[in-house]
Amino acid sequence: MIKNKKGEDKLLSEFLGVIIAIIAVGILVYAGYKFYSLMPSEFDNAKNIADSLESKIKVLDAGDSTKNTIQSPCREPGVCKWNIQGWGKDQPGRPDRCFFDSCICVCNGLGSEACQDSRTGICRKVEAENVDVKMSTRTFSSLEGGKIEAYVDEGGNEVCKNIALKSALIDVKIFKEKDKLTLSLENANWIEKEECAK
Amino acid sequence: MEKRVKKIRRAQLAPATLITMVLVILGFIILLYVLISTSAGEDGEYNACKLSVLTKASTPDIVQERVPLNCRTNKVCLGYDGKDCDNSFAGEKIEKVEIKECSGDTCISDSARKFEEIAAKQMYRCWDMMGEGKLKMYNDADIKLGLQSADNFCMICTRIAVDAEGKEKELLDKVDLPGYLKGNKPEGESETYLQKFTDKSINAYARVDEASFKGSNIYANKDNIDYIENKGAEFAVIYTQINPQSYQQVLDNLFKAGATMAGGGFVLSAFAPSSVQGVVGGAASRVLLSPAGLYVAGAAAIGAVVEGVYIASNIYESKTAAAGYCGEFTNSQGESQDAKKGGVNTAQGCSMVQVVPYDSKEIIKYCKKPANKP
Repeated sequence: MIKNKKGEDKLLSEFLGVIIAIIAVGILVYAGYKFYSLMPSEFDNAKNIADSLESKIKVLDAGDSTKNTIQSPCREPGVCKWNIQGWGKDQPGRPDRCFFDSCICVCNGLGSEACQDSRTGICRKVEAENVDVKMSTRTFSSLEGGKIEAYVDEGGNEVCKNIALKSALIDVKIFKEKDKLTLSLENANWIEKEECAK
Repeated sequence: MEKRVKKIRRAQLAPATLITMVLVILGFIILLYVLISTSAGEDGEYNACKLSVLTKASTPDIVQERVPLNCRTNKVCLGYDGKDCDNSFAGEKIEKVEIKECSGDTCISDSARKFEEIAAKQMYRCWDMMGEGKLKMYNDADIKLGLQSADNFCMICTRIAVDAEGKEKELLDKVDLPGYLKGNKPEGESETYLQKFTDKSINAYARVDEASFKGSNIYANKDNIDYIENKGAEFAVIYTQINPQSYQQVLDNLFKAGATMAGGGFVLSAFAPSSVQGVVGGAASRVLLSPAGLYVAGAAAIGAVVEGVYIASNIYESKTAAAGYCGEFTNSQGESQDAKKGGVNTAQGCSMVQVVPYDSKEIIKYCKKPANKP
């Protein structure tokens, strides 16, 4: 009888030990996961950019302009593929998710396809008939043997219909007119030819 | 018999102690979370940032980069009545400081003094919030192991915009910020701002780009002149720190990392059944003593040498970068001084609080990866 009591005690303490160990490991795994997810993803950062642009646009009256400083959503801005793009309500080639409205989008890639996918693009409706997103920059193509070919227009710069988020800090100028919204970036870093939307 | 009872009691205490410990840790985490999330208002933001800076700096280096900072850029608008610096801060929470709408030298000078006062206060707030240069902040754990060259850590603490209906240039021309920092003290302090910011023992300095206020820099291009004269001027108070590692420090860190991995391996192997240990040990020695094994070992040795050269080049690059960042500063007498001539070893890195024109291209020169959203 005494022997059984001893066994029961031992079993109870072992059992309690195992339960506590499982709880402790669970807490550690959860804490580790939480710690890992403290850093926002590129998508989260892009969503914040779309939100900040939307809130700035909303407070502007016709004829007003402001500056919005944006941080690249990527850890390595130089190789970042995210872009700001925009479409007016009657402009062809818009992402379907903009429905019948004008919209601005922050997307991982160029064109409406990247913006159409809700995993790679964030779009926000804007109240303006026309939307003009433009970036003045210089473009180049990578050739074989590590050479590059630069394209320079007469004015020195090329104008792309997207704002590439390839710098740690980017000053986007927002100008609102009665029927038009313009988002522009002057003298952006050089980009590859195919990263310039025409 | 008595001994046996004591032993059993001790064994019974262990789970209770563990539970208490887990509860205490959980309670502490919940309290910390509540403290951070409920802190509101100006002081709340300041305290939340300071707390997150302390947390980050006291976290082990290897995971420090993953600890986010809870710091917002403070936005101050120095403007005439009814002017809210919309060109810079439309739709954002701002701290408005009103200046008198007037003309004449004395009046403009008063506004300039106001600017100096605000800028100095914001510099001090930033300096204090970031640990007065005493806390080491890193962007990346790889820097400590020499696997990456040192990059500077930076924080955009405040943006100060001036909205004075086209009189911004006139006002800024009268600003003498180094003079103000040299001759005035923060509230309740016995040292001047510059003395506070300058501490050779921790390589801490202040830097004010005078050219920003006197026309040659920010007014250099025509677009900027139009922009400022029509829309207002803006400056940023930024805190930067660069911590290049010495050869000795990198070796120490590599040794610690190696010791941790070896220790981990030892603990894991101790748990493996002896039959598995025997099989793995035998196989490993057979592979290592075979010609292929020796070839692999040779390749590993060459790899180690290449890695060593790579680390050495990163350390050299870090020191060069540090010398570049820390090259010039404002000394406690308020003079712009070359760090090397001042007897400062710039290769050791530095912490600086500085005022620069708020322009992304200008800021990136000092701040490649801002730790907060401006």
